[in-house]
Amino acid sequence: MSTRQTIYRVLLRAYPEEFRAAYGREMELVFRDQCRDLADSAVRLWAHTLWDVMLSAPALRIEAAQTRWNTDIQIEESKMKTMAILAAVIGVVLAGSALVEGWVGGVGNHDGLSLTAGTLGLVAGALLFNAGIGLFGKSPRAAVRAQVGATICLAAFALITVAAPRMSVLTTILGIGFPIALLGFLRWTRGRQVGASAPL
Amino acid sequence: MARQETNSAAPALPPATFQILLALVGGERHGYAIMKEVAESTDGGVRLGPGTLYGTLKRLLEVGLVDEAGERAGADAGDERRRYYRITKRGLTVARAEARRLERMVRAARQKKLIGPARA
Repeated sequence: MSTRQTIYRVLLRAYPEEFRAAYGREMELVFRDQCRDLADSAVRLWAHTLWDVMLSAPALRIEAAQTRWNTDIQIEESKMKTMAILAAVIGVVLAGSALVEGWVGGVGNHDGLSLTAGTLGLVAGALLFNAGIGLFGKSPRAAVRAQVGATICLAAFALITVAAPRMSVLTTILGIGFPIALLGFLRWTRGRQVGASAPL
Repeated sequence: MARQETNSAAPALPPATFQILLALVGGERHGYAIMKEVAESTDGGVRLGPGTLYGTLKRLLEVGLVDEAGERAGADAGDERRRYYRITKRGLTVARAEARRLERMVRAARQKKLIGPARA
């Protein structure tokens, strides 16, 4: 490889990696052909080459950054939708489970604690469902709605577990574990500043 | 590279883009052949560098105005394999629309006697 080609290969580093991977070899071949068929002086060729790199590389870098940004947003949105669906489904499951295990069981046995636990679980499940719907619809206050829902759900199930452990293990794990996961997810997405697309 | 809206609502193509499409109207070509064709057809007025050429080809591929036509060695003996490009039907339509737009502009310039009549 000639010195010119080695220098041109170094100049190619100004271009985005993906672009270099797709067209770098072709560009080197074209530059080699230009050197071979040199009609101008070497100085003019280098001036033209440097000008070309200065004009095209920044524009391609901006395009590559925009593409990466758009891809990131799409991935975040699909994660957000998955979390929203999970929150809505788990909310329904928790509310149904709390209704059957706590409230209905409490009415039959005149058990005040079970009734309270059932009511709390029902409200917490409904809040979680509401949070999921909010996230799915990307409403302006979706994040706040989801955070409030997840926090109250977590607090309610923590209270039930400590004060009146009347729920099944699965319901308790779902009631405590999922709100923690949802809160962590909301914090993570806010940290990644994807709020521009999905208002979080 | 000014982008202007024409009466037909189609945005004006940047000169490099139009020249590349024009070069491909003549058939499949690899990068260097496109570059040479553009330089020849504009009497050296438009000289594309490799970055501008492949940056534009990348965009043209993305919007479907140009297609890859496979890799093969050039006509020169011992030449390395190169990627060839061809214009698509959509690319032809866009190039034709741009040529008509330019034709209208030249006609308007003639009417105002900015330039002389067309040479036979």
